[in-house]
Amino acid sequence: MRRGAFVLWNLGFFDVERSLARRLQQNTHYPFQVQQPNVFVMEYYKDTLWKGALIFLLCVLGGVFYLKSEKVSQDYSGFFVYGILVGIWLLLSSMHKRHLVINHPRGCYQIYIKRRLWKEGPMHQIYVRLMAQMDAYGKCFYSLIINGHGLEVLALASLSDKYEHMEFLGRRIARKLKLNYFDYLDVSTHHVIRHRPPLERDETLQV
Amino acid sequence: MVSIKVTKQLVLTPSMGWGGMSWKDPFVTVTFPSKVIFTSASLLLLLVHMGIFGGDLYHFTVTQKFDLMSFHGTTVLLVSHVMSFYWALLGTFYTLEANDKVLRGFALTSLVMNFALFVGRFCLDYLTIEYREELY
Repeated sequence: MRRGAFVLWNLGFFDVERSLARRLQQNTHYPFQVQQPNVFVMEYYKDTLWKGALIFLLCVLGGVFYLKSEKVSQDYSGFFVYGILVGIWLLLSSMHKRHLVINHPRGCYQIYIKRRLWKEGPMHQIYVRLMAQMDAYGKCFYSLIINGHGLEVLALASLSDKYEHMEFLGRRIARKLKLNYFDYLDVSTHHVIRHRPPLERDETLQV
Repeated sequence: MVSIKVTKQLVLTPSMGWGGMSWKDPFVTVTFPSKVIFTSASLLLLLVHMGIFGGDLYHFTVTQKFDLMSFHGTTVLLVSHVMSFYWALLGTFYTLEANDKVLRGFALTSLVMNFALFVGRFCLDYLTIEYREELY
């Protein structure tokens, strides 16, 4: 069970909804902490941090072994150079801690990267969504994500096939955090809307 | 049917939009939008590939030193061409979706130049196939 800023680095493949339910029992507003009533703060590192570090390490080791091995007519060291550069880039871009603040009294969400305000937006532009991916046999795998305008996608639970369980957990998270909840289908009766985009000035409303 | 004129003003939320971000922030935090990363990576690789292509042409036509051409790295080079074209394509899709005019120009330029360079690379490798080193 990961703590602190590494809370979103779940590596499990089986029973993701059960581990999410267990985390929700320990922290009702998972993954956020309650700073004041109706102000939720989360600090996290992006998961590309460990992926970039892994790619970098593998390419450095592979490159060292390749240089020691016998040479054939084609030179494959370019692949290892590529991998090292991609790994360094992924490490650099996810090195800084991100803080996501949901501020209900002010009616906005803010994301800070390295203590600088990156994006600030109104409450109707951040949401909890159940996302679905289909495999080759037509079976749906569902993931719970928190996404928003100008935000990086945060995966709370990935690739589970139990729809009702995931929907229950997703609606519960959205209820605790007081955000909109969207189903995997764009048009669906399972959406829960708590914040609506405001009407523009002088718009004629036909009733 | 009654038509109601809604004259309520737009709800003023605290500084919608960039919210006080300066232009230095993407460089300090090394966080750019995906479309910027893909387009600039494909443009960078385009320059590298153009350099290698120019060097190959120079060694093939002018100095006739065929062992200085890029025959030893053809596998890596072709994979790199494919990656660059793929990133240019992704960058084009993202900029078209976001309706960003300046970046869209760069992304489309990168896409067309990458494709043309890929065709040129393929033709060059096919025409110079008899000059490759043979191993028995």
